[in-house]
Amino acid sequence: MAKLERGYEPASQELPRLVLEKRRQIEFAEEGSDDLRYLDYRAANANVGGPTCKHILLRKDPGKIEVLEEFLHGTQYRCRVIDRLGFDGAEVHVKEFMIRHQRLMRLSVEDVEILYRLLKGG
Amino acid sequence: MGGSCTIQVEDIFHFKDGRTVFVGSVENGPKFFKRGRYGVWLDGEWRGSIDLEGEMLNGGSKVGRSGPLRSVSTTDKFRLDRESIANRSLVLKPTPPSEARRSHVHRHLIGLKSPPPEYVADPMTLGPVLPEGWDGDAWENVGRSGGSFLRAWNKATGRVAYGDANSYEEARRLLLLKVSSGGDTAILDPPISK
Repeated sequence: MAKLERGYEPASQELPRLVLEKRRQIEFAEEGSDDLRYLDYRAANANVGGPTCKHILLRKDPGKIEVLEEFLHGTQYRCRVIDRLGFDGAEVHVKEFMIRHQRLMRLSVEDVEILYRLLKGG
Repeated sequence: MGGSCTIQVEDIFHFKDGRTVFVGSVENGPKFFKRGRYGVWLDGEWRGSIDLEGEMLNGGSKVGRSGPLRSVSTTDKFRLDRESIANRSLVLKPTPPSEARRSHVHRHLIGLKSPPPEYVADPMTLGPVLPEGWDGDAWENVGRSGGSFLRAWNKATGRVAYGDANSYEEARRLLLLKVSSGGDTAILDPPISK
């Protein structure tokens, strides 16, 4: 499995609750489950899917940027950004959005650096 | 949805919430798979249809690292797992049910060679335009090795012709060459006694 670039700041307990209030579903991948095997297989921290990109799958100890990114993918779907930019384009778009709005989202310097590194690919 | 592009499934995941996720490679696919109905083909045999919810996005992965692999999910019941598709070809293809049925029913015709088992009916064509009296169909290998299998028959004369090649163009050329030379005699086994 490729080494994961995890978020620096852990998600607060409040954050998933706020995401749920925005009509998203959240599942946590448990040890030994296919959910976790999938995340490992795709070398991903988290995942979003479902017919309208509202089913969020997280690892047990999600980072703040991981939760926010999955939430924003749902917004991208609703605004037809994913339709327009496609799979890879949406990944770039969401990270650039988060970097641009880092103060609004109160992201730490370390998390912004991680987003830059993820953007560079690799 | 994905037009005529196919997903060559490499692994299957059964999520806790009941969804089944397919991860596979896609060539010349759409930017993003939306929800739609897909046919399931296992080793070239049509196994039914499922409704795909759409594509899944993987967070926290580096941009451009996804490669050719894509993930789609369904809430339909799907019994196969990773062990049962090991060393087998599982393909998801946006095929209307009527076409899937057509390939399922008419794969084997009396007096004609059947297409190889891994080949599926080509939903885009029935083969080239043929001379008066001839009829035909077209089959394609949607796996990685590719290939096209065309066959034609003339019921009035009892003659048959085939074109089997790596590309549709070559198979078409071979078929038309055979048809123009009159074709071969259809072999009925056992022969029909008069």
